[in-house]
Amino acid sequence: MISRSFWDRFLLATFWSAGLAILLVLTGIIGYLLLRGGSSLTVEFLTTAPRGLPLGTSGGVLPAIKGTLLLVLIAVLAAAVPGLITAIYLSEYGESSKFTTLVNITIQCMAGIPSIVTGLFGYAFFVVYLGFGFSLLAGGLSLGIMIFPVIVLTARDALLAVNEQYRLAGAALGVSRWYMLHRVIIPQAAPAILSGILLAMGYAAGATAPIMVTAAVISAGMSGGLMEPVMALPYHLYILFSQHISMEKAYGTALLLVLLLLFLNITALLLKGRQGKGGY
Amino acid sequence: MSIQVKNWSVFFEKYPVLHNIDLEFNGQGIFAVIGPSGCGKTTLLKSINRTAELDRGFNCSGKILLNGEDIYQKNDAASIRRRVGMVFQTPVALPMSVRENVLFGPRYFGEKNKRKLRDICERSLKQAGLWEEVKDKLEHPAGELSGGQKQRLAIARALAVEPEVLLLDEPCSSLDPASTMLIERLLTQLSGTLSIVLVTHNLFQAKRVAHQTLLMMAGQVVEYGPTGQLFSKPVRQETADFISGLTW
Repeated sequence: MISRSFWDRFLLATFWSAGLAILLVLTGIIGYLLLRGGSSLTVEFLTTAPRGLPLGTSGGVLPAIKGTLLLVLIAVLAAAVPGLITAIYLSEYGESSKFTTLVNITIQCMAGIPSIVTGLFGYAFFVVYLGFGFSLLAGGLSLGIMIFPVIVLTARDALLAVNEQYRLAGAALGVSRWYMLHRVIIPQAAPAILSGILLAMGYAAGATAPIMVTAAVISAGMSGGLMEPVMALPYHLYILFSQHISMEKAYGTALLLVLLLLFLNITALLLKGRQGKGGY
Repeated sequence: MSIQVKNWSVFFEKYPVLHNIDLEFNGQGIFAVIGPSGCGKTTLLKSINRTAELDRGFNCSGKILLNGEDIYQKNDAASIRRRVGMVFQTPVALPMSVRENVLFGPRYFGEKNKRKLRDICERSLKQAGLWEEVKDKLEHPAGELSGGQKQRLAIARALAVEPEVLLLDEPCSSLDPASTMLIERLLTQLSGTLSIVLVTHNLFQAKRVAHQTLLMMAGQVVEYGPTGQLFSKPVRQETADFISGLTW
């Protein structure tokens, strides 16, 4: 008979190796990107527009950085407020009615929609039907639709994670739910809600499918107009390597994108760790 | 102060929890509610400040009168909850300073005068027997307090809105004996000016502090009377069995 302690050690070793494997994959990706693209990640690369023929063989990615930041900004502006309101409804006011169940299921389904389908919808609705054309606005709104369920679900769970006793204590004092929400529940959940929004921003910054049919182009100026098409990092990367324009620049762009996402995700994690510890 | 419970029944979904309860808590003093787990003590307590209805599937029939006024008649549960304070089993310190915990209710009900707020804070903490321990750390996070202090803070928070009745649901069950004694002494003091309904699992506690004691079983009133009499000369056999430890 194999002893229990053997199984314990075996399982522990399995879990450790699984964790180690993930760490290896992540450091592998970043290491490889650093190796291949590190040299092209220069100040010039970050501060100039792509040049050369075909475009992108030399120069930098400044318009793509700007485009990605603007797309993410519009997506968050469009999705965060309705997302938070929905989350508050689901966690605080929804009780357990059929309507709440329906909303919950709808949002789970939304989260599962392939991003290219969201892109197709964005194209049909924003670009064609509303006549926005290929534009920053159409792309940002499409990304907004994509990240909306992420924001709702993380915010809902953050609100639900706040100690139920607080709500009870508030109700027993005769104070309104809104008063409880804005003085206790939302401040307690805020770090985790912000963390969810940052994760959603990272998701939007890296998404290619929704913008390639609504907003992103190979070359765009720096106007930043809402109705102008834009460059974006993931799309630029896609063009650079799929058209074999410059593998070196492609790796540089990929490294930049991964570093941006890493920054967003680490900030999100640090914020989340603060939940409920806001000094109290 | 009088609380009259008339033919009061409560169901959750379809399951009955309280059956046709009839009783009166009259005047000041401490009314203890005892009985085996799941007999409906807490539901009765939560019926009196209309927090039972926050639980899923709540249904009720009958009446509860507070000074003759049917509290379920009005749509305004919040005003009833303000008049009938409640303290829970687990001490709850809201995530803010000691002072803001006490002033949580008064601020909501519109008190803005700084001087009055300071007075309310001091008076409530003194009433709850906590003032001496926290007067120099009113701005400290309430989470730093010990369990017993948190429970007295919860009492201070309830007292700050000047309720007519104070409900306590096993307030000492998570506290050490010293904190329990402090709270019992405090309740005795408060009972001079306030009606207190105390649900407790601790028969000795009921015996020590309560003026009247109510024994419930399976959602019904078994016996209700002066504490001394209920413990020394119970009328019903179930009561005698329960207090001698046969049925719990």
